Amino acid sequence: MGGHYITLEQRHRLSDTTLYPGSAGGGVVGGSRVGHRRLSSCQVLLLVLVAGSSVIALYAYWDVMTAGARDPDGHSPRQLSNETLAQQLRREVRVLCWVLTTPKYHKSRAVHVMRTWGKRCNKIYFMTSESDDELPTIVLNKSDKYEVLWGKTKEAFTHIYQHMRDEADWFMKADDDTYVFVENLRYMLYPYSPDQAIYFGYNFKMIGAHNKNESYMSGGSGYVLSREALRIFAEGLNDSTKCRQEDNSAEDVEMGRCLLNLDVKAGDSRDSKLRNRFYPLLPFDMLLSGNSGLDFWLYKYAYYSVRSCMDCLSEYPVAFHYVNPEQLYVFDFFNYDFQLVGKQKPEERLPQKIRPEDLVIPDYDNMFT
Amino acid sequence: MVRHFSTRRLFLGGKNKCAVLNSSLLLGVIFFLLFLLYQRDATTSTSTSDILATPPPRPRIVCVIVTFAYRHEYAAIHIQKTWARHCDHYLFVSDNVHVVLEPAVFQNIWDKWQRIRAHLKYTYMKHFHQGDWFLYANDDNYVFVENLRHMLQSYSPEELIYFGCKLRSSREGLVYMFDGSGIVLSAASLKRFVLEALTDENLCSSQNRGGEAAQELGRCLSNVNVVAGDSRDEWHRHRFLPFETSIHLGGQMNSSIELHRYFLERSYYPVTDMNLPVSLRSICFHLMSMPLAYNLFYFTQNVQIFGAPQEWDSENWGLENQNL
Repeated sequence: MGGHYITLEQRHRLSDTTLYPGSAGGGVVGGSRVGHRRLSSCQVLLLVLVAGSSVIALYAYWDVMTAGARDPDGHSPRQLSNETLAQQLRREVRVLCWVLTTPKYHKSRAVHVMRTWGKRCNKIYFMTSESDDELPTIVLNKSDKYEVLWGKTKEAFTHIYQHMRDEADWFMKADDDTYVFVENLRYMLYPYSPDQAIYFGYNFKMIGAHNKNESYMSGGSGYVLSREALRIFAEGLNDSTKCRQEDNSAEDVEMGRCLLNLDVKAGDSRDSKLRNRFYPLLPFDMLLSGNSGLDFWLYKYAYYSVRSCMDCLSEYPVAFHYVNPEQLYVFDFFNYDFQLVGKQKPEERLPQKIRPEDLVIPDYDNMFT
Repeated sequence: MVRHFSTRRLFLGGKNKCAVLNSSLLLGVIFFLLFLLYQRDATTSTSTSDILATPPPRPRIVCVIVTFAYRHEYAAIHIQKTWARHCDHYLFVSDNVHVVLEPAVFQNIWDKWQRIRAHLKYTYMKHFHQGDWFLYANDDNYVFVENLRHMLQSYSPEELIYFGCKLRSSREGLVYMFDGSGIVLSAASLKRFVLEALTDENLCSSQNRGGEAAQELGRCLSNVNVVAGDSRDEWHRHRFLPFETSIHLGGQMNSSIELHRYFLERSYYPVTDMNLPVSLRSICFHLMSMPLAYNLFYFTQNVQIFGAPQEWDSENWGLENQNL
């Protein structure tokens, strides 16, 4: 008991503002208070025990409470909801895919691209000469003939640059017989900045007169440009000293030459074990040594080493070529739907960002030519 | 002021300011939190093993792969490099020797049924102790042995049962397995087949059977009471597929193709829209071209999709369809 109650005399001694009944003596009112109550030792002990127990509870459950937000490498935090790493990458590494096709193949090839890997790009467009009710097409002026493929490519990239450059960070060109693993593409691109002038694909040795370390990317297995590379290309392709102005000639060779002249870097898309992620053929060619003889064209064209072995392709492949429509579904089923009981998923983390000044692109090392 | 923690009525004797009940309550809270802390660290390691009963033993599978000398280099060797080594034991049976395949050689057997009799008898006599289940497959099949093992965990090798791509003959309603896909026998049924069926002419013919070898096998097994199992999964999707992946996943069967017509006329389970639903844990396909075995091996053993969760329902994955 004691001093917890304010007697009538004490109340009168205090200042004239209203006191709520039952408030501790001298609690709410400003100004000097007589009879300032010290905390009793009991209340001190109470406070210590409460504080101590909350500290213990916090310590015990700290990791549970911060699981949603914490990320040790300082990457942008994941949503607290169950967002997977792939969904996070879909937000952060936006890819616009565009596919070269023609009306003859809309129903026999392009729709199957759409239904398999096409739907996984952030945006996908089919560059063709007629629109289609089932496909997001962009109708170009250039005809679909093989001879003007380079012209069509230039027109496609120009159109994307003019109308869609804000829709994505990276811009991938593919064929209608290419299969793309879009999540692995984002994983490969994550360390690089879209403001860097760089592009990736399967490296071929530059054709024609060239220096040793010059390469272009195979058109069949697709190539992907950063936003900056797209800008430089779109703004520089009319320069006749740098880029071929006529529409004929192999689209991938001319693209490579043009980008080389415009100082866009030709990146190395191989993984940390130097295994290919892009491949201009079907997987078995790189897995089965001897499937093709040494006179096979790939050995002469390749920029980096071409050894075939069971472990010579990356675990995180990005693209293959010559995938016919039925095989698109086979790829899709076995890579995305099929379950092999007991298959383990390795621990996956986002890779470190590479600063542009630290970027090193390995030299040409194909020992065959 | 309201009296907090008044102990007046609880302690007759005193006006204790630090009431015993007061502190003991708080100490109790502290100890409870400490208890929670330790319990949380402990449960993660011990709870699952306490909850599960002893898991069923892992079924051992012996794979018998049928090949011929002319196919050693272009077919059988790729089986050996890809899926054969995932069996607990594998045995190639052929008509000649080979340095890597090390086959059991059976010469001068021209009839398929006679070969089946010889192969299964040999397997029983030499390799019975090595397996609980016996897969009889061709050198142009791709078999996902891990998924076969998973399916067989629900069965006992003591059961008289066998699995495969189930057919029913149009004439007598005889049930048998398609010989173009794999056939899996339990240990008990292999033993019963070899000891009782092969020795009794009434139960199992010893004559050549030409193109009806698979039917004869089905007949013999049913005569010794071996049940033809249902190898479909919980959603009635098929695990043993008769044809190649591009047909079942990217196309459909065609009744103008003789082999497809053969299957369509005899399939035990109904076929709708000229195709069979394919299980996500399918076991056996036919390989139209041998290099495709390396694609299947690569996709299922090596390829990872970055950022996808471990148990993943790809059909309902969400974000993909928001593009348009």
